[in-house]
Amino acid sequence: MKKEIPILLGLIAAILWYGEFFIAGMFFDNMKMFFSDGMKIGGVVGIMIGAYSVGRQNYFKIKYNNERYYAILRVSMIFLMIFLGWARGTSLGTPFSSVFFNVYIPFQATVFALLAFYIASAAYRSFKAKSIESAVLLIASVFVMLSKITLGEAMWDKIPVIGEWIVDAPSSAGRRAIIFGGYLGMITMMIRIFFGLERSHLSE
Amino acid sequence: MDFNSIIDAIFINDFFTNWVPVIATLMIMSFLYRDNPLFKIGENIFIGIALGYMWTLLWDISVKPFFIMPLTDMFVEFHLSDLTIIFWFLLASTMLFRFNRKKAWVANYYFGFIFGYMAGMQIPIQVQNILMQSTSLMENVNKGSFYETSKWIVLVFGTFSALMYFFFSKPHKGILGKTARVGIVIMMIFFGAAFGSTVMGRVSLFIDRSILLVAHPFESMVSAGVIIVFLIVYFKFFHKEREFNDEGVL
Repeated sequence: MKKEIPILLGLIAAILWYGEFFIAGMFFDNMKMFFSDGMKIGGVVGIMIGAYSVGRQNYFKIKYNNERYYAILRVSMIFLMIFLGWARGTSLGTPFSSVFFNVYIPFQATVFALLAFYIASAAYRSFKAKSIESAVLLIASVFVMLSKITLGEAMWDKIPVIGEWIVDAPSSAGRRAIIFGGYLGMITMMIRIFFGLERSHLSE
Repeated sequence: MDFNSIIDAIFINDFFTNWVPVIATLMIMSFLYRDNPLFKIGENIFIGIALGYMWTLLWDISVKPFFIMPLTDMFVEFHLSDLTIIFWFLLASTMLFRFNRKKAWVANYYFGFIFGYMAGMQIPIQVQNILMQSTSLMENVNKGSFYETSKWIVLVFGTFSALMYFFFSKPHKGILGKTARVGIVIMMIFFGAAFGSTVMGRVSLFIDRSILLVAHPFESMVSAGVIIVFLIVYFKFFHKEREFNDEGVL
């Protein structure tokens, strides 16, 4: 009963949604609305669970002195943003948006900018043309990088054209094939869930 | 001066808009030297602000319109259909049982529903996606120039050969093996191009940060000086090296 009823519930939800795709009618429209409400309320409860989980983690970090002061700082920042949003609103020109633009954006941009150094260092150590495949990868990345800067065009005026061709043709083909595989995998997984063959999302 | 004006004065002023972005940028950049308390402070401020920002917006976008407002309307004028909100709220709340190992199975009811719902919704959508992907390739071969036509030919045959690489029902020998090999090359070009684009994206972010520092020279110099002095003092007098054993455990 711990798994059978949930699987049955899922099957009913899937059939009703799937049926709505083929059969028009008031019943299916109402059912679609009923299940959509379930998803929305699930999202709301998901936010609450996320908040509870973050609160719980930080509570234990503070209680057992596991980087206590960083946890206090983190929680204070969460409360600061919630307080600013509650007190002065979230629109442009408010303290909430000021903190977003002057604190959040610089931090985020710098964290991601730092990755440039680590990607470059990792690439320097691992990018070696030991086989045809790795040489192709190296050449493609060099052309794409050079095509995006003015130095590339200054070196050889065909580099931007070649870079564009690489991105539009073979790179796009590889991306399409991977996305295609993703769609097929998604369909297979959904059919398995539909028929109750996939149960890994359910607890014992 | 009322309460709102005080909050505005703290967070909307020249000091906040000029100094804070510079300090934030340099705090994170200090990690390039070594992991240090300034970086960790910056990291935790970033996480806290990001979470607080997201939750505040989600409250406005999701919680208020989908739960709080229908619930308050229910007390003004009750309809039988309003019970669905209570029903779904109780069912979704079973997700909280995931925190308890012995009672985790109670959450299965909502997860069973949600995955079934997603299955019913996603199957037609994904089939449509595949059909759209396939039909978008079916175009006129003659594109007017060799450059454009070659793009189309490589796109069609490249996609096909890359897909053949994932076809495992037959051994990769003969024509299938050669096609799969072309597929590997195509995917390597994709990975290379994706790598190149990512690197250039990160570099452009770094240039943006540098422009910010150049635009505020006084703030940058003072902040950088203070951070360098802090790092020297910290690593000279306060920092203790962590000792690892042979297995790399602290």
